[in-house]
Amino acid sequence: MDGVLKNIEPNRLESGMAQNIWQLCLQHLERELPPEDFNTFIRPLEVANSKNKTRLVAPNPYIRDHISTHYLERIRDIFEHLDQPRETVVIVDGLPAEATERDSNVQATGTSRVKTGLDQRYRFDNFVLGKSNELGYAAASQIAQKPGDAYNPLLLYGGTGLGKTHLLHAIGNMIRAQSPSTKVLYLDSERFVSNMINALRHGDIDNFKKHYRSAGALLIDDIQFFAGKKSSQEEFFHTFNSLIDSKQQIVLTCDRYPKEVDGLEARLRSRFGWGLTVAIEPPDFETRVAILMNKAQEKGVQLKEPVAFLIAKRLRSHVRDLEGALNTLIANARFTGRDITEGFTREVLRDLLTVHDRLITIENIQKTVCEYYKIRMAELLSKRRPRSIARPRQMAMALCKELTQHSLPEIGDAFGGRDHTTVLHACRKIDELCETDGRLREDKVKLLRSLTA
Amino acid sequence: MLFSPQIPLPLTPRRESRFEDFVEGPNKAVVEALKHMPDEPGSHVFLHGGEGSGKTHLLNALCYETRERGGRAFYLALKRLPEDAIASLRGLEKLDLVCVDDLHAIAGIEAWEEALFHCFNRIREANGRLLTSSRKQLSAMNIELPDLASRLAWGLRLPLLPLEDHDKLKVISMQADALGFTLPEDVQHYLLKHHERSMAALIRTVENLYQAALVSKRRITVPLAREVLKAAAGETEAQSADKK
Repeated sequence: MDGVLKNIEPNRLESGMAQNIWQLCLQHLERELPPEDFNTFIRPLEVANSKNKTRLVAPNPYIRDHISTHYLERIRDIFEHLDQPRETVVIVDGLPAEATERDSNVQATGTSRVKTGLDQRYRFDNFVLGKSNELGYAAASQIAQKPGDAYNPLLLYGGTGLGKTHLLHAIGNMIRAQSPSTKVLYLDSERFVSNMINALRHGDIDNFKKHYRSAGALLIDDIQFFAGKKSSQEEFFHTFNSLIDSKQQIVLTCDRYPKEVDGLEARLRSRFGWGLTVAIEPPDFETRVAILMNKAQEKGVQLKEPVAFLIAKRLRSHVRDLEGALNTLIANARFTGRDITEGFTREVLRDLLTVHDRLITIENIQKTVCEYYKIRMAELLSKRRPRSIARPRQMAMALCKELTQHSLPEIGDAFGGRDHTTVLHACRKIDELCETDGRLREDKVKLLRSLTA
Repeated sequence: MLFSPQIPLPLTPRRESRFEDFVEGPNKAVVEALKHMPDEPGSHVFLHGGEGSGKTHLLNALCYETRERGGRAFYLALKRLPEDAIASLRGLEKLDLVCVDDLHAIAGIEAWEEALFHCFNRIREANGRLLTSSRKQLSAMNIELPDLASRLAWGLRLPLLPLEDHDKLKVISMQADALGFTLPEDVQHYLLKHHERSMAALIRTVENLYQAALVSKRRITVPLAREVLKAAAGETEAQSADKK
């Protein structure tokens, strides 16, 4: 196991004694504190002895401060009681030295993490292609072959867990494979923000700027988390301009169409649209099956087709859901020693599969659509036909056809006794609009997700 | 009130929760999966089960196991934390194992959800291990941030099933042992028959019984158990009357 605790103090005897005293102190505290508090705040402390001081090391500044205000005096009392000078006990946070060692371990063993932030597990050759993501895949692979040349920036957007991050890493890994000297940087927007805050705090902002502006390819995940963070946006704006000017590749991902991200500066939004913007849609049934079969194979498991069909039919929101179900299934098979049959799958994934079954009824779809468009159920079922009501009604009908087994007449009946041709018309209309109207397509994707997640 | 409110100090310190003290019952595969987590960097498990199903015990048992093997583990009980404690999720990716208990307590709170989402990403990037728990299963938790929900769905989702009666007896007699007394068999059966049989309620009752015996200096018998149950029932009634 990596990150093994080491005694920082060279004098082992002294260090061992500190450990013993700390153990005694722990016993006292354990009697006094509620178990959750003891386990959260006291148990993770590590003890290090240096220069006649007993240093208690907390995992982060929050825990350090909490200990200082709530427990440090008590700990010192106990130390005094154990004939130790009370002032020698101090509380600090973090163990940066070991963190770095851990980094080098990861690199040395050749697993997926390198300084670029790239994860080598995500490559083009293990990305499962389908209708829903073929555009994104094509654009990504083109860019990976000729970074800075084709589309700049490339922006991939779509719901969570559909493979945006996979493509981002795949681009980076391919660029590195073709030209190992290219400086490729992958990070999510939150990391960009926190790195910038750290740089400001340590007076290191010039290096920060230099670092990102000298990237050969900059891959930023989840830019929606830039929202509301003004000075980070400002800095990112300049980084962006500098990279585009020097024809370095930028690839971004976002969980929605970037124009719809509130709290993102207008000039950034418009720049994000300079290159190519591609939507990644939720996978269709065939792609879901293919994903399950591939992932199972990666884990050395031969998944039977009916089992893949069963899972893919029920779980339709995102790929992580599929992977999670498969992981759970494989782990259960492994630890019970049973074969993965359809029956076993139903038993193990009962919670996941039935919930999805239960949620998707006509009534539920109607309710969800009403909540989404903020209209009343009575309006949805009424004969009124202004667009603000008719469109949500058509959407609800189309969703009923897609997600339930009900016939068109049954669906019509449930919508205030409408004819089945009205339902058919609604479904066609929604399909047609999805091709041309990005916002409506977005609505549908979000509704599908909330109904099937 | 029947018994003095003074709480006697336990004579022996509590023993850290360990796997060997966990009554598996129908949850053998779940426990096996958790025991394998130290060997699987980058793994994430989402554990769900009702109050008293043993989630906290298992989270702490895995922390214990990790520390025994020289690793660094961190346990965080969300329901115990004040709202400004979001910063407690920072920097945890340096550790070998992070256990976050009671996710249901922060579901729907935007700032917590976002902080947990970033925490998840950092741990995953560092190839660390994350064990989370909730009283509710994922789909019933009303998590607002889809990015967080999808990540929690990614790893193993394991339910803790309720124990059969004979296993419940095992748990309460082990609990009594840990407190330093023996729970006579007739008292065990009396508790199971005459009391709400949820594990959480049984554990509370054994605790109350122990306190009552210490304070009143009586042996633990069925009549004492009857009094304790009656007193507890009276308190619950009084509480609900107060609420009204």
